[in-house]
Amino acid sequence: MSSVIHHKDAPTDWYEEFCQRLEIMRQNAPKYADQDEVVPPDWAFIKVRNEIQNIRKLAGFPQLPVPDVWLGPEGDIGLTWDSGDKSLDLIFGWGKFTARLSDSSKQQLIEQTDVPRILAQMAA
Amino acid sequence: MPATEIELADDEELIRIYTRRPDEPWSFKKLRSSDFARIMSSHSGISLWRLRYITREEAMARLGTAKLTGTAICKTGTLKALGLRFFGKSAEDAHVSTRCPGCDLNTNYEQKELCAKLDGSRCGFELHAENSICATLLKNGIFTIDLPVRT
Repeated sequence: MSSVIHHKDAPTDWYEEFCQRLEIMRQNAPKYADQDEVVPPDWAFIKVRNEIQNIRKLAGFPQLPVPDVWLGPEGDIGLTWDSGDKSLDLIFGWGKFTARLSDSSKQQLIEQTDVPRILAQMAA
Repeated sequence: MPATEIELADDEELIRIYTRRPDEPWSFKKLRSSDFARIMSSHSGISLWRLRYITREEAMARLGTAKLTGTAICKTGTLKALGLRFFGKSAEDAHVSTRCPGCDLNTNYEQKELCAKLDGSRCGFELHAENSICATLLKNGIFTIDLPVRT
């Protein structure tokens, strides 16, 4: 007697998609680097992936859209969540971390320890 | 010829060329703060192009990049209102080096001296600046996508 296994149509978690995007960038970044552009080393990609994994856990695994993932010209690795006219940027640089909440009229820098709380609020 | 500060008309259209790797299609039609970030280690200001003197295609060709390119557009008056200033080799230069408020306005490129803020704070075109112009230029439609990146 056979039976059919039914799988739930669960949406891909933003963290999984983020990891996929990050890995593609890690592999291809050197190929497309412009003159004077700094390419982050492999360890920086791993560090960012682990940091985001930890932030996600501390935030209580919030359901969020997949963030934009990008590389800055100075070797920064960035994530951006947009919600209307609000944006949250997390920017991982060489020994520098910046979290910035911005809207149409102001910018606010956020302490790294407050990032999980902000992410949880964005999901609420 | 050394660069000097030049006056641009408020209604003049300026473009910023933004680049994307082919592997990041999720952002082909979206601007990011990093699109307006200065390469701090080797550049003074950020480059903008004047549509009065150059076409989009010519500007993109001059950039010389392996990435895909698109353009974002704005009116000069909007940038002047933010305190930005423009440097070119002549009043009709198609390329302008754009500086943030409080810049020492250095143009000594030959000596590899780069511009910096007079008060020692982070350059406004730095992603980690407390008040980053890179983030400001995305908001309120200051810069909008003009010619999106295409494959």
